[in-house]
This record gives sequence, C-alpha cells and structure tokens, in this order.
Amino acid sequence: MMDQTKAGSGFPADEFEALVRTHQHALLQYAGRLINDPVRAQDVVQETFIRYLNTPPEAADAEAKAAWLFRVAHNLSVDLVKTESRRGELLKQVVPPDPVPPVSNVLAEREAWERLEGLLQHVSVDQRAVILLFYQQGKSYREIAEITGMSMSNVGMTLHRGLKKLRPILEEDGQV
Amino acid sequence: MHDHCESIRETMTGFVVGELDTKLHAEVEAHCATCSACRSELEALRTVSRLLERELTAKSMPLELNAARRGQLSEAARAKAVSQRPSLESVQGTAGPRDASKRRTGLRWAIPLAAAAMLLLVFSFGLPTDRDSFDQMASVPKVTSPAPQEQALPPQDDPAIDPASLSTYGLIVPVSRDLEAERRSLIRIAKAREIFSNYEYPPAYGLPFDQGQFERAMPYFGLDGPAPYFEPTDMPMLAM
Repeated sequence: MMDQTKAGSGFPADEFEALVRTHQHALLQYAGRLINDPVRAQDVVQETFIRYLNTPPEAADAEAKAAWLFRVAHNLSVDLVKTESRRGELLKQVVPPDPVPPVSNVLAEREAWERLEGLLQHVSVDQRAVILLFYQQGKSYREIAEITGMSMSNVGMTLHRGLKKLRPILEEDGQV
Repeated sequence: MHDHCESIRETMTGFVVGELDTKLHAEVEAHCATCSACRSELEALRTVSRLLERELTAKSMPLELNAARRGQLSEAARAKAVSQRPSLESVQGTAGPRDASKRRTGLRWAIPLAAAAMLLLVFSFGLPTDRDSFDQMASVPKVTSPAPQEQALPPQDDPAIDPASLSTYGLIVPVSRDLEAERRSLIRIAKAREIFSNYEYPPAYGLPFDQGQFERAMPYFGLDGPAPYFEPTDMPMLAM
C-alpha cells in the first residue's frame, strides 16, 4: 500500500493517493486495451498521475478531474501506439516483436483478452479509442469528445465506422 | 440503395446507442418501420453493439498500479508537498524511498553524454588536452585529422543505424513527455557509442569535462530538450 504519511506543507498528498486509488483501474483498463500491452499501460498511467502532480487541472470537481486524467492517458497511449508502430515497422525487419505479456493468470480472462484483441486489431486507433471509451468506460459522446478532442459528430461517425468495420468480421465468426 | 436510406444508415449507430436527438431518433424509427433493408441493417448493428458491450464490460480482476509504481507516486506526492518539482525521471528506478545519495542523480546522463561529447571532439579536433578549452576548440575549426564522413554524428535519425543496437547497448527507452525526441537522442548516443567502442581511447571515467561543459555540449548533439534518462544499470556499459 502507499505510504499514508501526511503531506506537510499544503499539497494534499492524501487526496492524491485517493485519486490514484479511485482512477487507476479504469485508466489501466483503458490504456492497456488501447495499446494492447498491460505492462506498458502501467507506464502510461504512472506518467498520467505524475503529470497530474506537476500540472493539476484547474477545475476541482471529480468529473473534471476524471476527464483530465482520461485525456492525458489517452494522449500518451495514442502517442505510444503511433511511435511504436513507426519503430515497430523498422524493428520487425531485424528482431521478432516482443510477445504481449499475459494480462492475467486466469485462463478465461486471458482468452477473453485475446479474443477481443483479435477483433479490435481490425479498427484504427481512433476507432478503438472511441469504442473503448463508449463501451468499456461507459462515456457519453460528449465525454468522449472532451477526452479525445474530436467533435461530438466526429465521435458518432468514428464509432459508426468502427462498428461497420467489425460487423463483417463478427459475421464471419457467426456471431452476427 | 435509396439516398434517404444512406443518410439514415449514417445515423444508425447513434440510434442504437441512444445518442441521437429526439427528432433524428423519430426519423430513423419511422424510416425503419417502412424499409426492411434498413431494418435488418439496424438489427445487425444492434447485435454488433451488444456483443461489444458484453465483451468490454465483462468483469475482470481489479487492476492497480504495481507496488513499486505506487511507491514512486507516493514519493513524488511527498516531494511535491515540499515544493520539489516531481518528474518521472526523479522517481523512476527504485520502488521505495530513496536515500540522499540516490537523489543526486542529475549526473547519471552526463557520462553517456560525455562519451558522445568526447567522441565528437576526438573526431573533429583531436584529443582535448586543456580542461577549459572546449568553447575555444568548438569555435575554431581544425583541419588536422578530419572525421570521416560516415562517422559524423547524424543531425537527424540516421536510417543506417540499426535500431537493434539500442538494446545491444542496454539502452532503455522510457515513457516520457516526448518519446520521439528521446528516442532520437538515444539513437544518436547509441551511434556515438558504437563509434566510440571501435576507437582506441581510455575508459570514460576521468573525462576532462565538468557539468557546465556537458550542458554547453548538448546543442552539438541536438539535445536541446530534457536530458535523456538512463537506468543506473546502463552506466557500467561505458567502462570500455
């Protein structure tokens, strides 16, 4: 557990630790799925909280804080995916890619992870982000727009295109 | 397919997930009541949506940051409380509280940088003999022992650099504020080391540079941002 020592001079360290406890699960879930790497998701989420410490959002309400954390984690994840895909293309020529570490020791969870990854690899990173924010995180179009920087109509269109792309794949699997 | 069907289908996902305004919602509903093709399209989208919802909301074990990272964040929060600017560089590397000697990590990047700086000087101007002559040497181009073109440090990413050499040299690319910039810096330094390792020169310790000189040397390597982070385990690699 985190050290519960009280911060001395004004900065609410206890409040920060409570914030970490409250949001770490959702952020890890989202980043882990978006970058398809639960271990590097730990890097992303840690960096998100570090940035919160350095430049906390001005708004004080819980909803705004959550949106801010998701926005930072989203941007870090998307940057990582884009950087990795550029570098990955180069690296693939000389070394095989690292296997994705298992998300869980529970067989059913690992199978679920792999099944869903098999599906989500067919959509773009933006479509993946919107799908995850909508279905996994239960965010509304307005909240997704705030997190991703898209307009609300663009969020709707991105989700629509993502679903359309997934439909034939699910049909092939006999699930639709 | 009718034009109207086309425009209705564009809004169908919004209809399925309940994000359409009342007017559009009613329009889709009315259209699907009379158009069987659009009705079946709507059903298919509904099924896809339900499947995704089921898969993505499935219960999983609670996820949390590992203990080491929680400890680092806790330390960063305490550091913030005493008005120290926390950063990933200042907290990464050890899990628990760190002692005073480990806090003095400002020089951890300096040795790799020094190796690169030394390399540039060696190739460009010969071996430096005077501790204080860095600026002078840098501003006076010498014609003796010119560096072969292929050994010059690349101003940008050198496509000839084998990215695998990063791992050969034990470099760890951190997740940080500017991944791409750090990656470029690491590649430059890796390249410098690659050349350095082929060059007969005493080990990296005892370099005739001080901290200020390192900082003045940084622009020569395109390192105008924050210094790259190196794991402490990376350091012995320099004792060639």
